[in-house]
Amino acid sequence: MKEMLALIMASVLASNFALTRFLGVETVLGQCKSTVKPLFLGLAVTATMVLSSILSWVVAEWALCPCSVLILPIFVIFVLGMTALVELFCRKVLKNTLGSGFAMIALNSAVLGVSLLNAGSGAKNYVHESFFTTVVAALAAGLGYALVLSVYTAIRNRMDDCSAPRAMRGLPLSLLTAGFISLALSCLSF
Amino acid sequence: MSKNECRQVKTGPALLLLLGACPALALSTTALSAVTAGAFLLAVTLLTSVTMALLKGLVAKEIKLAASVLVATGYTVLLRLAVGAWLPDFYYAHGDMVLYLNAIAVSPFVYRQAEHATENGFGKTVAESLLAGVCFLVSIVVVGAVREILGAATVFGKELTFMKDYTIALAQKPFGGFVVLALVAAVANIIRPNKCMDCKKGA
Repeated sequence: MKEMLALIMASVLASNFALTRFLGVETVLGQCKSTVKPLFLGLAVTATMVLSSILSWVVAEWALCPCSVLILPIFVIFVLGMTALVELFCRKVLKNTLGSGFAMIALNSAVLGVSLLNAGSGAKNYVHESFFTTVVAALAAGLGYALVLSVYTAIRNRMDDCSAPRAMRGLPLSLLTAGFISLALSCLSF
Repeated sequence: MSKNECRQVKTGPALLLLLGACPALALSTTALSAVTAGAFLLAVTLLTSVTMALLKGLVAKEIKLAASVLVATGYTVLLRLAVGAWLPDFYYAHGDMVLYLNAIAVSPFVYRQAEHATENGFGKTVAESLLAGVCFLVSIVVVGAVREILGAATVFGKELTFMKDYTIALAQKPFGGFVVLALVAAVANIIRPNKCMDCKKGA
């Protein structure tokens, strides 16, 4: 239980996917005011992450082990399929369209990254043995992503009112903001 | 703002850095891995957009995203195997190289060029993808070289003795990546102003 808690805290804060692993950082940096609400988008990303890593774990464990070449294409298909499923759910059940959020989830390397890391084809020290750990890791990674997305968007919305040097407007300021959040998170270790 | 201005933003260099931010931040700890990542992204972008340009009439609008991501995935697997087999030094230069090269398959950078390819002609597609890829390659190599010099006092593996006593460990950490990339993007902003970051549609 203690290990599980450490894993959750590490995935949410210390080794956050968007800011210390840089997976899906494009979506965070390119987040605009007018589109989807950041928390909603973050939760949709979390749902996609959990669903696609469940599928990926099952397939990687029972069918794909000897054939590592096929892992990437099959995982990408899972991610696309699960994104479509989440979008359908949002439209039919929640009556809340994701709009351009669909592209933001499908083209989010964090979603693919969770599946790849869980299957052990990425970093060496992040292989999860059991099914339960995989699900928890995906959930924690998604929640960490949603947290960073909300915090970052809130800071950016406030900063829009300030005047900055012309060269620093836009991307440079976004990157510096994200950098300082990442510096704060990296001070924590679990 | 007029539509004309938006079109100009679509070709701005800062937007390219935003769309390719994942490899630009993760693989720029050394100049060597930055070259690998930039060249890899250039190759995947070029091949994917050429393929999508050839499939121009065949792909419906609704499945454009899925089609281009799958085409990019195919090329990513092929090129990753090629890099691993022929250039093992590059491939193992960075601990997480495999993961981030895999992540290029779903990069918005590749998708944006592929989406343009389905609207433009063949020649324009090749020129545009090459330009975007080379711009990105140059920027990421600058970022990688600066981070390597500041963080480890080496450049492309060669030691710079005069920098040896003045290394900043933070330059190799995520924070250093964000700061150096921000400075490069600021220079890109001066060269070519990028006005409407917030009205960007899609990815």
